[in-house]
Amino acid sequence: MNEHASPNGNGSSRAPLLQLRGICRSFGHVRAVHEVDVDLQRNEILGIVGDNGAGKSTLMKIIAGTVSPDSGRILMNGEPVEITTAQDSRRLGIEMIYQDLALFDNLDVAANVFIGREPTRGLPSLLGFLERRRMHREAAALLERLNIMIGSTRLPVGVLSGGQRQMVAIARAVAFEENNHILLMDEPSAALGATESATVTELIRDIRGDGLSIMIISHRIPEVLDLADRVMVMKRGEHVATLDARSTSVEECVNLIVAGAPAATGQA
Amino acid sequence: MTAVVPEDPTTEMSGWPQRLRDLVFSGKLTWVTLGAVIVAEFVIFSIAAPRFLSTTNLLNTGRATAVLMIVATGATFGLISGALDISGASVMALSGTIGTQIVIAGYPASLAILAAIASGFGAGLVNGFVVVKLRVNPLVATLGMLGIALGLAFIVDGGSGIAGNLRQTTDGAYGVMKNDLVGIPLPLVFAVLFAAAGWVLLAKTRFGLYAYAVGGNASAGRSVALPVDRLRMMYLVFSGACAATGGWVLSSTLGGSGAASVPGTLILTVVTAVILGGVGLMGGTGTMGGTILGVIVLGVLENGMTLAGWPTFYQYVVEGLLLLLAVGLEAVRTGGYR
Ligand SMILES: Nc1ncnc2c1ncn2[C@@H]1O[C@H](COP(=O)(O)OP(=O)(O)O)[C@@H](O)[C@H]1O
Ligand SMILES: [Mg+2]
Repeated sequence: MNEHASPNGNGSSRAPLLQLRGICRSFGHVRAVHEVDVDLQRNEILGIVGDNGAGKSTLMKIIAGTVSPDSGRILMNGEPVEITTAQDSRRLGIEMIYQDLALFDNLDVAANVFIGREPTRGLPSLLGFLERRRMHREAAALLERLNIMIGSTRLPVGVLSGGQRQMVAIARAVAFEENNHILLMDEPSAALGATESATVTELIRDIRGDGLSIMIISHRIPEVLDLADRVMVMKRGEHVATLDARSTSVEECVNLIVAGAPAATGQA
Repeated sequence: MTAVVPEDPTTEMSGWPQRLRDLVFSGKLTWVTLGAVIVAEFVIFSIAAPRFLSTTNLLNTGRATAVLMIVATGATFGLISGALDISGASVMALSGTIGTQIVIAGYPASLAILAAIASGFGAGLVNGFVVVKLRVNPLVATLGMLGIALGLAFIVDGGSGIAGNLRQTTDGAYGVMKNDLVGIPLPLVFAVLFAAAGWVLLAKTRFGLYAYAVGGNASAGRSVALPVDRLRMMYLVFSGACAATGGWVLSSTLGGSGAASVPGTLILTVVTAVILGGVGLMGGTGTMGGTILGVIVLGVLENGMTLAGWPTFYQYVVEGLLLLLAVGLEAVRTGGYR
């Protein structure tokens, strides 16, 4: 299931969209992420797999700006970038869908989609009047475009099912596409049942449009191999290997996750 | 983990279950209940005290309740953002005392009013700093301010607790709130406008939406790049400024005031009104409409019980019981304290 051309053969010699170099982060004595290098190509889906505690979430949060690295560099299009806050990463077109979804159960669907970027008029900044009708209209249009079934954008997110909540989080992450290059997803289907999880996978496939590159953490190896172009294996904070999703197998992945091995030739 | 996902709550429902659900979630059920309570109060008190329904008495109730409304507006923002601010009554005392002493010292009323309200900004900033930077529980932080602001108020009025020379404060612009506007007490007019502005701010602006956001899920706020700490600080500053405004209105109504002019139990009334109005103790829920109704319930209750001849200390008991009732109802609704 790979109708997309290999992202590595990009023709031109342009630098990868995102490059991490020598990223380290420790929590006390725990080396959560150690000397990790990763490349993310344009229009690529890169899977990240590894045991619990392998450092997958920490790596992603470093890209999203909510965890700061102890050392290492981040480059976009070959240029070094400074990501120290979530604002920085959003400005660079990086959106993250957190494992806990980071939704506001007490706010309605439209507010959750627009939070932090609400259309306002009248006074500037915090005192601006929310254009609620526009928020509902545009949120409804977005959900429809993504084939997401939610009765009303006025429902508080707290009453939605697990799958619907996941969809709202994804919709929020892709809502502002002009500036949307990289989507980071931390276990988007971990808490979902089989049917809902399939729907989410379908949605991820759908949103992979031009200019959208995705990094996705998952425990479901077959699903990752199906969805991703390449799969990066992490173990105890280290980048163990990167595999071509088409030529590897579930067994090979699982072996690497469990046993670990020195990083193979070529780098992610 | 597959079986826990319930059937889609959004498409299965129609007709009255959907409407009932909407009613509960919109907070309008609280409004209906409080409306019924207010009607019941009117019936009971008009029977218990014939004078209760007179225009004069109703306007007096409005005057007496105005300050409560102003302080409760600020407390509503604070609590929705996740901070129960109990320093309000002390900040009122500080504000009124500073304003009064500045007028007595011969400075213009405008400066006195400005300084009075600025004192609330200051108190709110300190509260916000302690909560956000030192990560102290808001209840404890504002308990500290409850002591500090009241103590400062006594220091400002020389320890007497009273205003001192009242002539300047009574006659000048500082005491403007003693007057009526077309027969309606000015504090009531002011409080109505104040509450209306608070309503718009909470329901229609980003400032209001973010109070729900940081109160509902602060960590999600950080994830989506909201300036959570700055916002939480702002709601406490806003709460302090509202309390100080209420402090000036009270001081102005009295024609000048000292530290002892604000009853210490006023904060009980404020918190009871806000929670009765449906603002959840855990933050993230509530409306200005609910707070307004909660304020009316308590304002009418105080006036009615006084007219009916109940001593003040009974009123404290009733208010305390009401607070426990409101908190208890919330606990039932949300699954209780964990
Ligand atoms: N905020 C934190 N404080 C302390 N330790 C942490 C923190 N975040 C992650 N860790 C530790 O870092 C390691 C990697 O965690 P994480 O990135 O969440 O792994 P994964 O997502 O692969 O399961 C774990 O040992 C975890 O306990
Ligand atoms: Mg994780």
